[in-house]
Amino acid sequence: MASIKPAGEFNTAYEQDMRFLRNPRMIILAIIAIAVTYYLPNLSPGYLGPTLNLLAYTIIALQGLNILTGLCGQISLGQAAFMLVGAYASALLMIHINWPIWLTIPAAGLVAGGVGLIFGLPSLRVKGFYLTMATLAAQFIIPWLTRNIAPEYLGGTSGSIEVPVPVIFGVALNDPVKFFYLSFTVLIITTILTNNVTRTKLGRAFVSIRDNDLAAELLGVNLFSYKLRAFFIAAALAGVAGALKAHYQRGVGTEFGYGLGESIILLGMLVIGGLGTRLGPFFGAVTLILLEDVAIEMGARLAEIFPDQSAQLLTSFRPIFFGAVLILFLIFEPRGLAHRWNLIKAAWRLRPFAR
Amino acid sequence: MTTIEKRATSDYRPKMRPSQIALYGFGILILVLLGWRIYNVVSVEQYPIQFWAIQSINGLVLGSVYALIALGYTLVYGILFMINFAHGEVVMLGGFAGYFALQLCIRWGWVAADAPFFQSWLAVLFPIAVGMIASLLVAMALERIAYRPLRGAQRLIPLISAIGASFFLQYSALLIFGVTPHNYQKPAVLTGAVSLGDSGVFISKTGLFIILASIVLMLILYILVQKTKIGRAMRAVAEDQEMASLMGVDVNRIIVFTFVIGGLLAGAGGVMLGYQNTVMRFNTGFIPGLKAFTAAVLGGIGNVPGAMIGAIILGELEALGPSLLGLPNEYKDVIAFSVLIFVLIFRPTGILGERLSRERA
Repeated sequence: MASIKPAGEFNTAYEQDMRFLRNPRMIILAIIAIAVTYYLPNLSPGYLGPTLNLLAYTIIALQGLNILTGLCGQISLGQAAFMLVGAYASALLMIHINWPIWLTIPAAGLVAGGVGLIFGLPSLRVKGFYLTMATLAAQFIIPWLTRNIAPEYLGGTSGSIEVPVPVIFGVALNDPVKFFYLSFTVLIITTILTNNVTRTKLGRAFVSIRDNDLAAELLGVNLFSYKLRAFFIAAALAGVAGALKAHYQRGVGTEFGYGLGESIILLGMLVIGGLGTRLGPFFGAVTLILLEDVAIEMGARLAEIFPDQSAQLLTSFRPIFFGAVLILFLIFEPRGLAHRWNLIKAAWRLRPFAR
Repeated sequence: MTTIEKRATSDYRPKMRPSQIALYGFGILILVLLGWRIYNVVSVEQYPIQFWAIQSINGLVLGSVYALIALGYTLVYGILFMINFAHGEVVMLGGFAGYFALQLCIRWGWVAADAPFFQSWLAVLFPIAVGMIASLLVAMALERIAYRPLRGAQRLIPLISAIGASFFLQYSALLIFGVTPHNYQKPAVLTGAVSLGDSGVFISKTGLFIILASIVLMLILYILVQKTKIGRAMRAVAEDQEMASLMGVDVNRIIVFTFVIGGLLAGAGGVMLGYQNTVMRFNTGFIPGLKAFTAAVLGGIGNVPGAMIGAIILGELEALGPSLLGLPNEYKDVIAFSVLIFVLIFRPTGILGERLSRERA
């Protein structure tokens, strides 16, 4: 925490206030942290490689959901379906038109964003739970469409197609360590973009809609337009995440984990991390994915102890764990880990003077 | 008259915005397309009238079960303005409890084809009673553990907690009861079918029982809500929680009572689902739960008759929709959820819904 301002020092200019990296030490720390993260999968390609890739695309999807749910206050249960759209878009563009990966990922974002706009339309009329149910319908309709429409392109009822290995600068990203260079780079870009959303007119309009939509409307925020923008951004980031996921798993389809369960877990991660905070997606994804690894490990151990129930233990332990953790977090830490982090930071700042 | 004067008159209606006109145009276009498709299919396929009658009876059976479940959603929403997302799991657990009660009945010989009439009926009603009690306990535990600590938090928070509870219950059921489907064995009085005269239309005895039993349960609920003291207290809490508590209503008790009624109906619905589908699995409750929620929204959520009407309409749409549109039967889920989206876009208050105030949305 070397970069935290000591007690008694305050920002005096707007530019200082708006800066992410507030002093030279922080810039150096950020560079070191990024370099270390790029190197991290090499330490243990077997575990850290897949886990870090999973984290990267989960965090990107969460950042999108954070804008829609955390900033704009519209709950979405369709994030995984938009990931599926992006995944298919990127895969099909690469297979049939031979686009390179650095073109297919933004294109996947645009396609998914467009689909997100369609499912954001009900936000004109409804809000709260009703809107949640409309996004839930997206979660049922989109995977159903991919299974039943254009089977020669989308894989038909078996529900999956193979995705080629992405090649960038002549390097085939065919193992988790190499792929992480791509996914982490995309993550850095989306982090900068989403953080910029929070501190521009767009982000302030979102927050005003979340806090009081009537007041926001009276202040001249066009509710429909801004809600649709939030849906677009959320779905676009989901599409980018889905594209990464598809190229990482080298397959896309309804069997690859784009179901309602994934959407719910994404929402749960966001709540655990902290809704509407910059760090929330990071905290939520890291905490829940590590906890899930623990749960899988515990399930495997229990399966060894009770061999006749091993199949059930292996499939059910993770969701049970997730449900319990989610409820406990809501009861005991409803504002998420990011809030706790801020409390710790504040305590550290006032360290000599207050406990 | 100036514009301001016009606005001051009571029957002033604002002009539709272009986006609204586009939306309604889109809706009418889709309705026309659907009508055209239905006309084509019906005139080409030429199904006999008996087919439509049997299908609509199936829809009625389905709708009655949905109605029982939907009432749980709508009652809780009326009081707490929250969606009890784990209600489908309450249904499923009730169904499982009913299954084990049915196993007991089988052991006692009540289910066999030659069982006496009275015992055969006991084998029908005992599982339903057990299922209702089990669901009641689950619903109360859910309220106590997952919802009560979060009362007063933002609207969004209990919904997410409900989702977590739904996951927890569903996969706990998987852990305890396994993946294999548990087969319901129908007692003797529920097997076979009744034919209506010599028209060729018949209705399975299970279906008839489900329709009649749901009507009885809903009548009891209606009397409970409209004619008793606790029903009056429930309506008062739904109207204004704070004011009701000032008038001496124990709000906490009423909320628990609402969950109890929802749980009772859900347990009955779960066991009936078991009799109807003859299988019970860990995820049996989830999709019917969502459908019942759709039905509640369709009828206007928070509105008790609305939930019943919406459920019947949804059941009919599911039973008749695929054949009307000439689609395979698996498309019924998509039809149900498309209906949900259209209701949400064009009439979010539902068929019978009151005007949605800003507070309740």
